[in-house]
Amino acid sequence: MSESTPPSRAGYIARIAANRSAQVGMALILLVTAIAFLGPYVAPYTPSEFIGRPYNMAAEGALLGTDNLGRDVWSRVLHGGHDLVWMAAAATLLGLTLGTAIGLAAAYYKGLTDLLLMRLIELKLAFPSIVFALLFVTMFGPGKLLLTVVVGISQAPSVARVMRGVALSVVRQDYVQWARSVGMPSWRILLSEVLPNTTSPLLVEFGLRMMWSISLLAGLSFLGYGIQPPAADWGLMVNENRNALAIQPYAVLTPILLIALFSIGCNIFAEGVTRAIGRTGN
Amino acid sequence: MTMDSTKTGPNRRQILAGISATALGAALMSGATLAFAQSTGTLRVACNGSASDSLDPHRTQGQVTDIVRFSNLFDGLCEYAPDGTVQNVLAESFTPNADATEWTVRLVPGVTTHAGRPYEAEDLIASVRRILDPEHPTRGASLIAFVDAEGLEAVDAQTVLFRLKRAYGPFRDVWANRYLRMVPRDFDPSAPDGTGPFKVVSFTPGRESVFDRFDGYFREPALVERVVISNIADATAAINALRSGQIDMTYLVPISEAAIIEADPSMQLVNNPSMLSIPIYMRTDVAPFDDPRVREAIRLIANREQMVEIALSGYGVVGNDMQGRNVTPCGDTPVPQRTQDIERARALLAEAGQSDLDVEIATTAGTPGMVECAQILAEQARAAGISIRANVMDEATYLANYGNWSFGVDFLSDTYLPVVARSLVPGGTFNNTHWNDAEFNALFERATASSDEAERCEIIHQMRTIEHERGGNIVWGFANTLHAVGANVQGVVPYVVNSAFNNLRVVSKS
Amino acid sequence: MTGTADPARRVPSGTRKNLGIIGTRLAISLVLLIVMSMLVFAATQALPGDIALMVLGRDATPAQVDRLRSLLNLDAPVWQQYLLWAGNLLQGDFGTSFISQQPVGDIVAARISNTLVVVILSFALSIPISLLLGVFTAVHADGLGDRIVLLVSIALNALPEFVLALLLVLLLSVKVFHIFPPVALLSPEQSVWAQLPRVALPVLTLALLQMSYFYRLVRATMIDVLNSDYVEFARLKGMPQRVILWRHAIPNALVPAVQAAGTIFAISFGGVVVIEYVFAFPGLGTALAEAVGSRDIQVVQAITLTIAVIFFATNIVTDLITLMLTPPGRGGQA
Repeated sequence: MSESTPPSRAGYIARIAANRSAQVGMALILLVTAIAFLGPYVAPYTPSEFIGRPYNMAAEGALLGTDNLGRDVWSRVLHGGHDLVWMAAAATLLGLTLGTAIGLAAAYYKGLTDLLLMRLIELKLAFPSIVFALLFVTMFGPGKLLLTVVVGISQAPSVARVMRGVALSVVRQDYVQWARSVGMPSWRILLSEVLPNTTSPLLVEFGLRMMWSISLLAGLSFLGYGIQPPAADWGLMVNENRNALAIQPYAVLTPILLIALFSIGCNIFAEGVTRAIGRTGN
Repeated sequence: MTMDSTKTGPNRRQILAGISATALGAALMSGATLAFAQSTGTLRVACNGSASDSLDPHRTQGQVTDIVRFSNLFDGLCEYAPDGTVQNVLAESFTPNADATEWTVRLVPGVTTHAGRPYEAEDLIASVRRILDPEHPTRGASLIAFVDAEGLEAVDAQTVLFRLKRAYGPFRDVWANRYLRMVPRDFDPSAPDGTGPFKVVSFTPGRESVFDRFDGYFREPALVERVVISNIADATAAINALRSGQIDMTYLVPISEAAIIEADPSMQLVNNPSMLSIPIYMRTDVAPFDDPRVREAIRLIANREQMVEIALSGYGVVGNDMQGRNVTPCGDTPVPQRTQDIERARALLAEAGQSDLDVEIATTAGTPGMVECAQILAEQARAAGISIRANVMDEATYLANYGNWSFGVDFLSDTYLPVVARSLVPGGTFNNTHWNDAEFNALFERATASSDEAERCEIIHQMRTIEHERGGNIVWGFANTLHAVGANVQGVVPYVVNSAFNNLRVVSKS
Repeated sequence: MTGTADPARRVPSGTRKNLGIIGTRLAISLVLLIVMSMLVFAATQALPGDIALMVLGRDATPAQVDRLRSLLNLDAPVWQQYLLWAGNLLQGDFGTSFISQQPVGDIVAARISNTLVVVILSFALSIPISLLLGVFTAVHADGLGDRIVLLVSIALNALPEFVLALLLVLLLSVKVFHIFPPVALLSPEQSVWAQLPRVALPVLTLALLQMSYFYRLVRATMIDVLNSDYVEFARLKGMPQRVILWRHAIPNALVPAVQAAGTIFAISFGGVVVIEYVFAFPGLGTALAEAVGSRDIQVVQAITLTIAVIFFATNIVTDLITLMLTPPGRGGQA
């Protein structure tokens, strides 16, 4: 296991920025985010307005036809992304923060703290994320904040494992040992010495976890446990209209396409970061 | 079980083509039974049910799988014909005394159960007592609450005397209800014996049940040898299974697919003009809906054509705030159709001081249209400047507060008087509106006591007029129940009450 | 390791030490199971509505609900209900489902065996193909083939599970081709092995998802190994590429694949609700989701514990296999 001093943070970012995959991934992420957040301003109708018969491909003024309740698919597509995007992003950030905190603490304090934290994580991992989520949604109702928190918590264990592994090698570095020996408080060591040296694996995790968050949120919507009608939401749109795939494919395929583009963007970005920093092994 | 050995289907090569040169290929060869076309003697039926499935016709949650199962395993005293008229089945005759407080029921002679026992008066008495057993609540109990369980008497082996707690005129009609199927004495739901046209071969709750034809059935025996009823919860999956020939009939059809099925020569759409209403209820005993002006305003906000058009994709009819899609044989109740009138609604709301009303409407995916109609009403309410928010819950959460939601959506599927008994008078378990109208209650008493049909019809029209004027429900429409069956299936006709799935005896396959 | 395996689970060499560690792991797992059963029990209590309402439905009068609640012991304090349940479990009795009136053990056993068959079959497809693809793309890294395979795997990975499942139904059974039945209508009267075509689509869906993950691990490890000094040396010594691959590179590439296979194996029990739902496949996940919906606490408890047991057992077995596969002298490298 090579333990050379990692390059500086600025060096990483430059390398990532120069990577083709990372660029493409980021571009896709930004594109979908732009559609999600600017869409509502250009949508011709409100997301809940009835403009024609259900599943009418030729409805007047409806670019992509109407959906199961005769609403404009195009307007709903434009309105239906921002919740998914911000919830996925917030859930991912929460998962990363929580996971990083647990991972770093476990690696730094070792011993009993490590043992307990890791068992806690195992406990969570032994419980399927999707069932975990639907248990909480059933308990408290499908609020957006709750969904975000639940999905975030679901992501934390995997992040914690990765971050612990990364931090273990960082903690062994001379500069950390030195900081310890001069009595620097542990929170400062963790924040100023350990955390900055885990940036690149964090970025990779961000890409991967973002993808998982989207998949989980969309899956919950699909099962009817996610964002509730009459809200416009890409995952929900797929669920509401999938019966009519044969007669009104746009109502299903457009949201799927956008979810997939977003997800693929995150994936390619993670792949690009991995390549840029040469993290093929440990 | 050897039923799969008779199957034919696409050849093995076709299947292997899709997955050539893989380990799965070898595995598939070993299990060389194929799942496509089935033997014509076996009818494969898909319904939506749950793990709570049972073979008990009385202690059931009333999910579709249960109803289809027990309707084919057991008989009632009567049944509904496709047009909604009541026909005798186990009963040969019903004879009231002068004031309809005692009824004598004669059973058809020579009926035997699957186990070969004769079906007699004692069996009927045991069944009625089982339905009324206070220790084990059943769905049928409230329908025959007027029967005195202790007063049942076997006059002879074929005849039972029913002594009633109060006069009940439409006595015979009640027994056609699906929750009043008759079982033998000493009935054991784990090894269910019955008189119906099919008998149990195997049963796995939530998964599948297999029934064989009962050759000793007292009417024309079933046309198919075997029925396999599978649980498929997802309507799309069920239609896919039908399309590919995995099943012959599906109870559940997504409304949105109905038009496609109608156009597809390989499938038939069964469009039942059902007595299925999806009322939006308003509690008449708490604010804000205790004010009749507010109820009237919400009723005027509803655009019923739009609701039927969208929530039911047009597969249904508009309602006029009174229960009963029709009240055959009484004809139409002469009340003008209520239509959307936003101006009047606004005025009424202003008068009631509720111009900025903001309420939540409780709903759950109980039947197609329940969630959609709440969303549509919410959107329509914007025009009147008030806010209605749809609160869509899972079933258990909805049930946890059932009867207490001040504003919500429900569904009812029955003929007029039973619907009234359950939902429009005090004590009815579905009386979500908490409506308690003295005049209406008195009329209902008179209607059930009367054995004169013309008089009863006159009373029913008065009741419906009151419902329309001051009831707590927005009866915006009646939904058609849609099934789909394969093109090779015969004998499936639309039913007004119940469904062809409850009478698989007459269904065949070519 | 590129994956997310817990570095704490890295298995040191020395068999006796390993046995000790595995013993400790077993003990810890047991404690975790108990904690989980308590948490899940507590969670089910917090759900709105209860099983009595679900059993009786809309028809129920409050008196009937109360009677059923006391019959089912639902009015006892929570801790009493829990102890009663735990006591029965210790005697090997999972209880009876309030909803279906069936022994919970039977329900769970049937679902496990269904899932097991599907997972085994999907592994039988995905592991050999992933190894081939992984080795091929590593040897030809950055070539056209590598890029195409990578792109496809990214797309597969990025599609939400239900989308992939729905697309496969359209493609292979109802719209384009009519090869497989669209619904996994398994008859409970027969073993799954006797009705394999019915699970073809769930198997294929899982296998595709697994492949997109496995193969990338294999590829990454292979690239590492191929670039190692050790292989470089062998190459300089004139060892043929084929020998290098089979004798040195592939055995090493297997290790992360086994770890990943362990993770996926565990996830397949209960974690693929969405896929089960699309195919109406009677697996553990949908059974659990349904039990939560109907507030069938006995079933919820039994299934969550089963899933957890499978998870812990898989971890331990995975580590043992890793240990066996790790070539001597490269012990710490896994």
